[in-house]
Amino acid sequence: MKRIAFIIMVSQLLLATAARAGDVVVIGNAASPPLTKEQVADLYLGKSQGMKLIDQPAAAPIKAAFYQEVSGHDLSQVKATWSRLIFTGKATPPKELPDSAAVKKAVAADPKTIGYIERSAVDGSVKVILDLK
Amino acid sequence: MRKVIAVGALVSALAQVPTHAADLGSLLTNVDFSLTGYGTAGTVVTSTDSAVFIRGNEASGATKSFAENVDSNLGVQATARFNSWLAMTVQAEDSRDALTGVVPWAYVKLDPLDNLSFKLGRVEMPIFAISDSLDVGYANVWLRPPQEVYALSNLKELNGVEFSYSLPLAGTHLTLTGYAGDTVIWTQRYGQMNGNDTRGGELKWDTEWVTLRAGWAQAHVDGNILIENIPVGPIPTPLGPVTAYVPYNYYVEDVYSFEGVGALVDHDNIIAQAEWVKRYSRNYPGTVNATGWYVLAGYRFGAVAPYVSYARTDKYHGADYTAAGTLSDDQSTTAVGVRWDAFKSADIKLQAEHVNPQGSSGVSFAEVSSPLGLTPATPSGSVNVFSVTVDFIF
Repeated sequence: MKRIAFIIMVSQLLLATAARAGDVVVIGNAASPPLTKEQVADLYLGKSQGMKLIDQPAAAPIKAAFYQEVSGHDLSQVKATWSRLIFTGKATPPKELPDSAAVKKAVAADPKTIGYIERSAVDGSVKVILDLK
Repeated sequence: MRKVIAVGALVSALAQVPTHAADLGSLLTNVDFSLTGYGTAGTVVTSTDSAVFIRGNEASGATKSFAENVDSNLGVQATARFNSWLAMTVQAEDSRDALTGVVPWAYVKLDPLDNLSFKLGRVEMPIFAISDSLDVGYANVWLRPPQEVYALSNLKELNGVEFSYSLPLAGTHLTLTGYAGDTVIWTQRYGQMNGNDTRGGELKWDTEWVTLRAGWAQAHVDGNILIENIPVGPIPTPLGPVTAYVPYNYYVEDVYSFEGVGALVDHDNIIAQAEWVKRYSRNYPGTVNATGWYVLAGYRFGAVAPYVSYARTDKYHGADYTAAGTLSDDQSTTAVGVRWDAFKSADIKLQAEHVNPQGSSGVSFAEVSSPLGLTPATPSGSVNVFSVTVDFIF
Protein backbone atom coordinates (compact mmCIF):
# COMPACT_ATOMS: atom_id res chain seq x y z
CA MET A 1 0.00 0.00 0.00
CA LYS A 2 2.76 2.37 1.01
CA ARG A 3 4.64 1.49 -2.17
CA ILE A 4 1.59 2.27 -4.33
CA ALA A 5 1.18 5.59 -2.55
CA PHE A 6 4.85 6.31 -3.22
CA ILE A 7 4.53 5.45 -6.93
CA ILE A 8 1.47 7.68 -7.23
CA MET A 9 3.33 10.48 -5.49
CA VAL A 10 6.35 10.13 -7.79
CA SER A 11 4.24 9.96 -10.94
CA GLN A 12 2.31 13.02 -9.83
CA LEU A 13 5.57 14.83 -9.31
CA LEU A 14 6.76 13.78 -12.77
CA LEU A 15 3.46 14.82 -14.31
CA ALA A 16 3.65 18.18 -12.56
CA THR A 17 7.14 18.76 -13.98
CA ALA A 18 6.06 17.67 -17.43
CA ALA A 19 3.06 19.94 -17.37
CA ARG A 20 5.20 22.89 -16.43
CA ALA A 21 7.81 22.14 -19.09
CA GLY A 22 5.06 21.90 -21.69
CA ASP A 23 4.17 25.50 -21.02
CA VAL A 24 7.51 26.95 -22.09
CA VAL A 25 8.01 28.55 -25.51
CA VAL A 26 11.11 30.10 -27.01
CA ILE A 27 10.37 33.46 -28.56
CA GLY A 28 12.04 35.71 -31.08
CA ASN A 29 11.42 38.87 -32.98
CA ALA A 30 8.80 38.84 -35.76
CA ALA A 31 11.71 38.52 -38.25
CA SER A 32 13.38 35.55 -36.46
CA PRO A 33 13.55 32.16 -38.21
CA PRO A 34 12.40 29.09 -36.24
CA LEU A 35 15.05 27.20 -34.25
CA THR A 36 15.36 23.54 -33.32
CA LYS A 37 15.64 22.32 -29.73
CA GLU A 38 19.30 21.40 -30.38
CA GLN A 39 20.09 24.89 -31.67
CA VAL A 40 18.47 26.49 -28.62
CA ALA A 41 20.33 24.09 -26.29
CA ASP A 42 23.67 24.89 -28.00
CA LEU A 43 23.03 28.62 -27.64
CA TYR A 44 21.94 28.47 -24.00
CA LEU A 45 24.82 26.16 -23.01
CA GLY A 46 27.37 28.38 -24.76
CA LYS A 47 28.27 25.88 -27.49
CA SER A 48 27.32 28.27 -30.26
CA GLN A 49 27.10 32.02 -30.52
CA GLY A 50 25.41 34.50 -32.77
CA MET A 51 22.26 35.41 -30.84
CA LYS A 52 21.69 37.65 -27.84
CA LEU A 53 20.18 35.44 -25.17
CA ILE A 54 17.76 36.50 -22.48
CA ASP A 55 17.42 34.45 -19.31
CA GLN A 56 14.90 34.40 -16.49
CA PRO A 57 15.86 34.69 -12.80
CA ALA A 58 16.84 31.49 -10.97
CA ALA A 59 13.90 31.97 -8.60
CA ALA A 60 11.40 31.71 -11.49
CA PRO A 61 10.22 28.08 -11.92
CA ILE A 62 10.22 28.53 -15.70
CA LYS A 63 14.03 28.70 -15.73
CA ALA A 64 14.56 25.19 -14.35
CA ALA A 65 11.77 23.86 -16.61
CA PHE A 66 13.33 25.47 -19.69
CA TYR A 67 16.84 24.10 -19.15
CA GLN A 68 15.54 20.66 -18.20
CA GLU A 69 13.41 20.57 -21.36
CA VAL A 70 16.02 21.76 -23.88
CA SER A 71 19.15 20.16 -22.43
CA GLY A 72 18.16 17.67 -19.72
CA HIS A 73 20.42 19.57 -17.32
CA ASP A 74 19.42 20.89 -13.92
CA LEU A 75 20.34 24.41 -12.88
CA SER A 76 23.48 23.47 -10.94
CA GLN A 77 24.83 21.68 -14.03
CA VAL A 78 23.96 24.69 -16.16
CA LYS A 79 25.75 26.93 -13.69
CA ALA A 80 28.86 24.73 -13.67
CA THR A 81 28.85 24.70 -17.49
CA TRP A 82 28.64 28.49 -17.65
CA SER A 83 31.33 28.92 -14.99
CA ARG A 84 33.65 27.05 -17.39
CA LEU A 85 32.78 29.42 -20.22
CA ILE A 86 32.61 32.71 -18.34
CA PHE A 87 35.97 32.41 -16.61
CA THR A 88 37.72 31.71 -19.87
CA GLY A 89 35.92 34.42 -21.80
CA LYS A 90 34.66 31.87 -24.33
CA ALA A 91 31.10 33.06 -24.27
CA THR A 92 28.95 35.76 -22.77
CA PRO A 93 26.22 34.35 -20.54
CA PRO A 94 22.53 35.11 -21.21
CA LYS A 95 21.35 38.42 -19.84
CA GLU A 96 18.99 37.93 -16.93
CA LEU A 97 15.78 39.98 -16.94
CA PRO A 98 13.31 40.05 -14.04
CA ASP A 99 10.20 38.53 -15.69
CA SER A 100 8.48 37.38 -18.89
CA ALA A 101 7.17 40.88 -19.66
CA ALA A 102 10.74 42.23 -19.67
CA VAL A 103 11.89 39.29 -21.81
CA LYS A 104 9.15 40.02 -24.37
CA LYS A 105 10.07 43.70 -24.50
CA ALA A 106 13.78 42.93 -25.12
CA VAL A 107 13.01 40.30 -27.78
CA ALA A 108 10.50 42.51 -29.60
CA ALA A 109 13.06 45.31 -29.81
CA ASP A 110 15.92 43.36 -31.42
CA PRO A 111 15.86 40.73 -34.19
CA LYS A 112 19.10 39.16 -32.84
CA THR A 113 17.58 38.52 -29.40
CA ILE A 114 15.76 35.40 -28.20
CA GLY A 115 14.24 34.41 -24.87
CA TYR A 116 11.75 32.03 -23.31
CA ILE A 117 8.44 32.67 -21.58
CA GLU A 118 5.26 30.85 -20.55
CA ARG A 119 2.96 30.01 -23.45
CA SER A 120 0.19 32.01 -21.77
CA ALA A 121 2.36 35.15 -21.87
CA VAL A 122 2.78 35.12 -25.68
CA ASP A 123 1.24 38.08 -27.51
CA GLY A 124 1.53 39.80 -30.91
CA SER A 125 4.79 41.59 -30.06
CA VAL A 126 6.84 38.37 -30.33
CA LYS A 127 6.92 35.18 -32.38
CA VAL A 128 7.14 31.61 -31.05
CA ILE A 129 10.26 30.15 -32.68
CA LEU A 130 10.27 26.87 -30.73
CA ASP A 131 7.43 25.28 -28.80
CA LEU A 132 8.72 23.01 -26.02
CA LYS A 133 5.62 20.80 -25.97
CA MET B 1 26.00 35.67 -10.58
CA ARG B 2 26.50 38.36 -13.13
CA LYS B 3 26.36 41.99 -12.24
CA VAL B 4 25.66 44.13 -15.22
CA ILE B 5 26.56 47.71 -14.61
CA ALA B 6 25.20 50.45 -16.76
CA VAL B 7 28.40 51.98 -17.94
CA GLY B 8 26.36 53.98 -20.41
CA ALA B 9 25.64 56.79 -17.98
CA LEU B 10 29.26 56.97 -16.96
CA VAL B 11 30.60 57.40 -20.44
CA SER B 12 27.79 59.36 -21.99
CA ALA B 13 29.91 62.44 -21.35
CA LEU B 14 32.29 61.08 -23.97
CA ALA B 15 29.46 60.71 -26.42
CA GLN B 16 28.66 64.39 -25.99
CA VAL B 17 31.94 65.32 -27.66
CA PRO B 18 30.42 65.74 -31.08
CA THR B 19 33.23 65.48 -33.66
CA HIS B 20 35.60 62.51 -33.96
CA ALA B 21 34.45 60.94 -30.76
CA ALA B 22 31.04 60.06 -32.17
CA ASP B 23 31.98 56.50 -33.11
CA LEU B 24 33.91 55.96 -29.91
CA GLY B 25 31.00 57.40 -27.97
CA SER B 26 28.49 55.01 -29.50
CA LEU B 27 30.91 52.15 -28.86
CA LEU B 28 31.29 53.06 -25.22
CA THR B 29 27.65 53.84 -24.45
CA ASN B 30 26.75 50.26 -25.30
CA VAL B 31 29.42 48.65 -23.15
CA ASP B 32 28.17 45.64 -21.26
CA PHE B 33 30.40 45.43 -18.21
CA SER B 34 30.41 42.42 -15.94
CA LEU B 35 32.32 41.54 -12.83
CA THR B 36 32.40 37.91 -11.78
CA GLY B 37 34.53 35.78 -9.54
CA TYR B 38 35.33 32.33 -8.28
CA GLY B 39 37.10 30.81 -5.36
CA THR B 40 37.91 27.73 -3.36
CA ALA B 41 38.45 27.43 0.37
CA GLY B 42 39.85 24.13 1.49
CA THR B 43 42.12 22.19 3.76
CA VAL B 44 44.27 19.09 3.27
CA VAL B 45 45.90 16.64 5.67
CA THR B 46 48.09 13.60 4.92
CA SER B 47 49.35 10.51 6.71
CA THR B 48 53.01 11.51 6.68
CA ASP B 49 55.42 14.09 8.06
CA SER B 50 58.27 12.83 5.86
CA ALA B 51 57.38 15.08 2.88
CA VAL B 52 54.83 17.81 2.15
CA PHE B 53 52.00 17.16 -0.29
CA ILE B 54 51.79 19.94 -2.87
CA ARG B 55 49.68 20.77 -5.91
CA GLY B 56 51.55 21.98 -8.99
CA ASN B 57 54.41 24.31 -8.08
CA GLU B 58 53.28 25.31 -4.64
CA ALA B 59 55.84 26.59 -2.20
CA SER B 60 54.35 24.72 0.76
CA GLY B 61 51.78 22.04 1.41
CA ALA B 62 50.18 19.53 3.73
CA THR B 63 51.64 17.00 6.14
CA LYS B 64 50.00 15.52 9.24
CA SER B 65 49.33 19.19 9.94
CA PHE B 66 46.40 20.68 7.98
CA ALA B 67 47.32 23.06 5.14
CA GLU B 68 44.86 25.53 3.67
CA ASN B 69 46.98 26.74 0.76
CA VAL B 70 46.93 23.53 -1.30
CA ASP B 71 43.59 24.09 -3.04
CA SER B 72 42.45 27.53 -1.86
CA ASN B 73 42.32 30.38 -4.34
CA LEU B 74 40.30 33.44 -5.29
CA GLY B 75 39.83 34.95 -8.73
CA VAL B 76 38.05 38.04 -10.03
CA GLN B 77 37.25 38.69 -13.66
CA ALA B 78 36.16 41.87 -15.40
CA THR B 79 34.73 41.65 -18.91
CA ALA B 80 33.73 44.57 -21.08
CA ARG B 81 31.76 43.71 -24.20
CA PHE B 82 31.69 46.65 -26.58
CA ASN B 83 29.59 45.08 -29.33
CA SER B 84 28.98 41.73 -30.98
CA TRP B 85 32.59 41.40 -32.15
CA LEU B 86 34.77 43.18 -29.58
CA ALA B 87 35.30 42.34 -25.90
CA MET B 88 38.00 42.68 -23.27
CA THR B 89 38.65 40.30 -20.39
CA VAL B 90 41.01 40.65 -17.45
CA GLN B 91 41.25 38.10 -14.67
CA ALA B 92 43.32 38.36 -11.51
CA GLU B 93 43.89 35.45 -9.20
CA ASP B 94 45.34 35.11 -5.75
CA SER B 95 46.92 31.85 -6.63
CA ARG B 96 48.26 28.77 -4.95
CA ASP B 97 51.13 29.05 -7.34
CA ALA B 98 53.96 31.03 -5.78
CA LEU B 99 55.39 32.50 -8.94
CA THR B 100 52.93 32.91 -11.76
CA GLY B 101 49.23 32.92 -12.37
CA VAL B 102 48.59 36.29 -10.82
CA VAL B 103 46.96 37.46 -14.06
CA PRO B 104 45.97 34.26 -15.90
CA TRP B 105 43.94 36.09 -18.55
CA ALA B 106 44.20 39.59 -20.03
CA TYR B 107 43.11 39.85 -23.62
CA VAL B 108 41.12 41.58 -26.29
CA LYS B 109 38.75 39.23 -28.11
CA LEU B 110 37.67 39.81 -31.67
CA ASP B 111 34.85 37.80 -33.26
CA PRO B 112 34.86 38.70 -36.95
CA LEU B 113 32.44 35.82 -37.64
CA ASP B 114 30.07 33.87 -35.40
CA ASN B 115 32.39 30.84 -35.53
CA LEU B 116 35.76 32.58 -35.56
CA SER B 117 37.50 34.40 -32.73
CA PHE B 118 40.91 35.87 -32.03
CA LYS B 119 42.35 36.58 -28.61
CA LEU B 120 45.25 38.99 -28.34
CA GLY B 121 47.11 39.27 -25.05
CA ARG B 122 47.59 36.78 -22.26
CA VAL B 123 45.73 33.48 -22.44
CA GLU B 124 45.87 30.03 -20.85
CA MET B 125 46.94 27.50 -23.47
CA PRO B 126 44.62 24.52 -24.05
CA ILE B 127 47.25 21.98 -23.01
CA PHE B 128 44.75 19.63 -21.36
CA ALA B 129 41.09 18.75 -21.81
CA ILE B 130 40.35 21.06 -18.88
CA SER B 131 43.04 23.73 -19.02
CA ASP B 132 41.09 26.91 -19.12
CA SER B 133 38.86 26.34 -16.11
CA LEU B 134 41.40 24.42 -14.07
CA ASP B 135 41.44 27.03 -11.33
CA VAL B 136 37.65 27.30 -11.17
CA GLY B 137 36.84 24.51 -8.72
CA TYR B 138 33.10 25.03 -9.18
CA ALA B 139 33.37 24.21 -12.89
CA ASN B 140 34.70 20.70 -12.27
CA VAL B 141 33.58 17.47 -10.66
CA TRP B 142 36.89 16.60 -9.04
CA LEU B 143 38.30 18.30 -5.97
CA ARG B 144 41.65 18.76 -7.69
CA PRO B 145 42.90 17.61 -11.09
CA PRO B 146 44.96 14.39 -11.07
CA GLN B 147 48.53 15.62 -10.52
CA GLU B 148 49.97 12.68 -12.47
CA VAL B 149 48.65 14.45 -15.60
CA TYR B 150 48.03 18.08 -14.68
CA ALA B 151 51.31 18.69 -12.82
CA LEU B 152 53.35 17.52 -15.81
CA SER B 153 52.96 20.64 -17.93
CA ASN B 154 55.51 23.27 -17.04
CA LEU B 155 54.18 25.86 -19.49
CA LYS B 156 52.56 28.93 -18.00
CA GLU B 157 50.30 31.50 -19.63
CA LEU B 158 50.97 32.55 -23.20
CA ASN B 159 51.58 36.15 -24.19
CA GLY B 160 50.59 36.18 -27.81
CA VAL B 161 47.69 35.42 -30.09
CA GLU B 162 45.16 32.61 -30.18
CA PHE B 163 42.55 31.87 -32.83
CA SER B 164 39.63 29.52 -32.57
CA TYR B 165 37.39 28.35 -35.41
CA SER B 166 34.30 26.29 -34.76
CA LEU B 167 32.69 24.32 -37.55
CA PRO B 168 29.13 23.03 -37.10
CA LEU B 169 29.02 19.42 -38.25
CA ALA B 170 25.70 17.56 -38.36
CA GLY B 171 24.56 18.72 -34.95
CA THR B 172 28.07 18.53 -33.48
CA HIS B 173 30.92 21.04 -33.30
CA LEU B 174 34.46 20.69 -34.52
CA THR B 175 36.74 23.36 -33.06
CA LEU B 176 40.27 24.13 -34.14
CA THR B 177 42.40 26.34 -31.90
CA GLY B 178 45.91 27.54 -32.64
CA TYR B 179 48.22 29.84 -30.72
CA ALA B 180 51.67 31.40 -30.86
CA GLY B 181 53.68 33.67 -28.58
CA ASP B 182 56.02 33.63 -25.63
CA THR B 183 55.67 31.97 -22.27
CA VAL B 184 57.76 30.90 -19.32
CA ILE B 185 58.61 27.38 -18.25
CA TRP B 186 58.47 26.95 -14.52
CA THR B 187 59.74 23.88 -12.73
CA GLN B 188 59.90 23.22 -9.05
CA ARG B 189 63.47 22.04 -9.16
CA TYR B 190 65.06 24.49 -11.58
CA GLY B 191 62.96 27.63 -11.38
CA GLN B 192 62.06 29.73 -14.38
CA MET B 193 63.23 29.65 -18.00
CA ASN B 194 62.09 31.47 -21.13
CA GLY B 195 59.69 29.71 -23.45
CA ASN B 196 60.25 31.57 -26.70
CA ASP B 197 58.54 30.91 -29.97
CA THR B 198 55.86 28.87 -28.26
CA ARG B 199 53.13 27.47 -30.46
CA GLY B 200 50.52 24.81 -30.37
CA GLY B 201 47.04 23.76 -31.25
CA GLU B 202 44.00 21.79 -30.28
CA LEU B 203 41.38 19.91 -32.26
CA LYS B 204 38.16 19.32 -30.36
CA TRP B 205 34.97 17.54 -31.31
CA ASP B 206 31.86 18.19 -29.21
CA THR B 207 28.59 16.34 -29.39
CA GLU B 208 25.70 16.81 -26.98
CA TRP B 209 27.37 14.57 -24.41
CA VAL B 210 30.88 13.67 -25.59
CA THR B 211 33.98 15.81 -26.06
CA LEU B 212 37.06 14.34 -27.74
CA ARG B 213 40.23 16.38 -28.03
CA ALA B 214 43.85 16.22 -29.09
CA GLY B 215 46.38 18.93 -28.31
CA TRP B 216 49.99 19.73 -28.94
CA ALA B 217 52.38 22.47 -27.76
CA GLN B 218 56.03 23.23 -28.33
CA ALA B 219 58.39 25.85 -26.90
CA HIS B 220 62.01 26.81 -27.47
CA VAL B 221 63.45 26.96 -24.00
CA ASP B 222 66.47 28.84 -22.85
CA GLY B 223 67.72 30.35 -19.65
CA ASN B 224 70.08 30.02 -16.75
CA ILE B 225 68.81 27.45 -14.34
CA LEU B 226 69.83 27.20 -10.75
CA ILE B 227 71.50 23.83 -10.22
CA GLU B 228 72.37 24.35 -6.58
CA ASN B 229 73.65 26.84 -4.05
CA ILE B 230 77.26 25.99 -3.27
CA PRO B 231 78.44 26.77 0.25
CA VAL B 232 81.59 28.94 0.38
CA GLY B 233 83.46 29.64 3.55
CA PRO B 234 83.47 30.05 6.39
CA ILE B 235 84.57 33.58 5.47
CA PRO B 236 86.01 35.63 8.35
CA THR B 237 84.04 38.85 8.91
CA PRO B 238 84.07 41.43 11.73
CA LEU B 239 80.98 39.64 13.08
CA GLY B 240 82.66 36.23 13.01
CA PRO B 241 82.96 33.50 10.36
CA VAL B 242 80.04 33.31 7.87
CA THR B 243 79.17 30.67 5.28
CA ALA B 244 78.04 32.19 2.00
CA TYR B 245 76.00 30.42 -0.67
CA VAL B 246 76.92 31.03 -4.27
CA PRO B 247 74.32 30.07 -6.85
CA TYR B 248 75.66 27.68 -9.46
CA ASN B 249 73.82 28.43 -12.70
CA TYR B 250 73.82 26.45 -15.87
CA TYR B 251 72.71 27.66 -19.30
CA VAL B 252 70.08 25.44 -20.86
CA GLU B 253 68.75 25.40 -24.42
CA ASP B 254 66.08 22.93 -25.45
CA VAL B 255 62.96 22.21 -27.44
CA TYR B 256 60.18 21.27 -25.05
CA SER B 257 57.04 19.53 -26.30
CA PHE B 258 53.77 18.48 -24.74
CA GLU B 259 50.95 16.53 -26.30
CA GLY B 260 47.79 14.89 -25.11
CA VAL B 261 44.45 13.34 -25.97
CA GLY B 262 41.31 13.30 -23.87
CA ALA B 263 37.65 12.32 -23.71
CA LEU B 264 34.92 13.84 -21.56
CA VAL B 265 31.47 12.28 -21.22
CA ASP B 266 28.45 13.80 -19.49
CA HIS B 267 25.37 11.79 -20.33
CA ASP B 268 22.20 11.67 -18.25
CA ASN B 269 23.79 11.31 -14.84
CA ILE B 270 26.98 9.58 -15.91
CA ILE B 271 30.25 11.48 -15.81
CA ALA B 272 33.42 9.97 -17.29
CA GLN B 273 36.77 11.54 -18.12
CA ALA B 274 40.06 10.16 -19.40
CA GLU B 275 43.26 11.77 -20.62
CA TRP B 276 46.72 10.72 -21.72
CA VAL B 277 49.63 13.17 -21.98
CA LYS B 278 53.29 13.06 -22.94
CA ARG B 279 56.05 15.54 -22.11
CA TYR B 280 59.33 15.37 -23.97
CA SER B 281 62.56 17.19 -24.64
CA ARG B 282 65.05 17.23 -27.48
CA ASN B 283 68.19 17.62 -25.35
CA TYR B 284 67.31 16.33 -21.87
CA PRO B 285 65.04 13.28 -22.27
CA GLY B 286 66.08 11.67 -18.99
CA THR B 287 65.25 14.85 -17.09
CA VAL B 288 62.05 15.80 -18.90
CA ASN B 289 60.36 12.89 -20.69
CA ALA B 290 57.31 11.44 -18.96
CA THR B 291 53.83 10.19 -19.71
CA GLY B 292 50.72 10.48 -17.59
CA TRP B 293 47.11 9.30 -17.75
CA TYR B 294 43.97 9.10 -15.65
CA VAL B 295 40.43 7.77 -15.77
CA LEU B 296 37.56 9.17 -13.73
CA ALA B 297 33.98 7.96 -13.40
CA GLY B 298 31.14 9.49 -11.47
CA TYR B 299 27.39 9.45 -11.14
CA ARG B 300 25.05 12.29 -10.33
CA PHE B 301 22.36 11.47 -7.76
CA GLY B 302 20.62 14.84 -7.89
CA ALA B 303 22.84 17.32 -6.08
CA VAL B 304 25.34 14.65 -4.96
CA ALA B 305 27.94 13.28 -7.36
CA PRO B 306 30.35 10.63 -6.06
CA TYR B 307 33.35 9.75 -8.23
CA VAL B 308 36.42 7.51 -8.34
CA SER B 309 39.63 8.05 -10.27
CA TYR B 310 42.94 6.40 -10.96
CA ALA B 311 45.95 8.33 -12.26
CA ARG B 312 49.48 7.33 -13.08
CA THR B 313 52.68 8.92 -14.40
CA ASP B 314 55.75 7.08 -15.66
CA LYS B 315 59.09 8.81 -15.88
CA TYR B 316 61.45 7.95 -18.72
CA HIS B 317 64.50 6.50 -16.98
CA GLY B 318 66.87 7.02 -19.92
CA ALA B 319 70.64 7.44 -19.95
CA ASP B 320 70.71 10.97 -18.53
CA TYR B 321 68.10 10.26 -15.82
CA THR B 322 69.07 10.96 -12.22
CA ALA B 323 66.67 10.82 -9.30
CA ALA B 324 68.21 14.08 -8.06
CA GLY B 325 67.77 15.87 -11.37
CA THR B 326 64.47 14.71 -12.85
CA LEU B 327 61.59 17.19 -13.29
CA SER B 328 59.14 14.64 -11.91
CA ASP B 329 59.10 10.93 -11.15
CA ASP B 330 56.81 7.90 -11.04
CA GLN B 331 53.56 8.12 -9.10
CA SER B 332 50.05 6.69 -9.04
CA THR B 333 46.94 7.84 -7.16
CA THR B 334 43.63 6.16 -6.46
CA ALA B 335 41.01 8.67 -5.33
CA VAL B 336 37.39 8.58 -4.20
CA GLY B 337 35.43 11.76 -3.72
CA VAL B 338 32.09 13.45 -3.79
CA ARG B 339 30.78 16.76 -5.07
CA TRP B 340 27.68 18.05 -3.32
CA ASP B 341 25.91 21.05 -4.83
CA ALA B 342 24.81 22.16 -1.42
CA PHE B 343 24.12 25.81 -2.18
CA LYS B 344 22.91 27.94 -5.07
CA SER B 345 26.38 29.03 -6.22
CA ALA B 346 28.64 26.87 -4.08
CA ASP B 347 29.52 23.22 -3.70
CA ILE B 348 31.21 21.13 -1.03
CA LYS B 349 33.72 18.45 -2.02
CA LEU B 350 35.45 15.68 -0.11
CA GLN B 351 38.26 13.54 -1.50
CA ALA B 352 40.37 10.70 -0.09
CA GLU B 353 43.44 9.58 -2.01
CA HIS B 354 46.03 6.86 -1.76
CA VAL B 355 49.19 8.21 -3.40
CA ASN B 356 52.01 5.82 -4.25
CA PRO B 357 55.21 7.59 -5.37
CA GLN B 358 56.89 4.22 -5.85
CA GLY B 359 59.97 5.04 -3.81
CA SER B 360 60.58 8.32 -5.64
CA SER B 361 59.58 11.94 -5.06
CA GLY B 362 56.73 11.45 -7.58
CA VAL B 363 55.01 14.64 -8.66
CA SER B 364 53.29 15.68 -5.46
CA PHE B 365 55.97 15.73 -2.77
CA ALA B 366 58.53 18.28 -1.57
CA GLU B 367 60.91 18.66 1.34
CA VAL B 368 59.30 19.62 4.62
CA SER B 369 61.89 22.28 5.25
CA SER B 370 63.91 23.62 2.33
CA PRO B 371 65.46 27.00 3.12
CA LEU B 372 67.12 27.35 -0.28
CA GLY B 373 64.06 26.83 -2.42
CA LEU B 374 61.59 24.04 -2.79
CA THR B 375 63.07 20.63 -3.52
CA PRO B 376 61.25 17.42 -4.40
CA ALA B 377 61.42 14.86 -1.60
CA THR B 378 60.68 11.16 -1.24
CA PRO B 379 58.07 10.29 1.38
CA SER B 380 58.49 7.10 3.35
CA GLY B 381 56.11 4.77 1.50
CA SER B 382 52.59 5.46 0.21
CA VAL B 383 50.68 8.44 1.51
CA ASN B 384 47.00 8.87 2.25
CA VAL B 385 45.60 12.34 1.60
CA PHE B 386 42.27 13.75 2.81
CA SER B 387 40.88 16.99 1.45
CA VAL B 388 37.76 19.09 1.84
CA THR B 389 36.89 22.20 -0.16
CA VAL B 390 34.08 24.65 -0.73
CA ASP B 391 34.00 26.06 -4.27
CA PHE B 392 31.96 29.14 -5.06
CA ILE B 393 31.26 31.58 -7.86
CA PHE B 394 29.90 35.10 -7.67
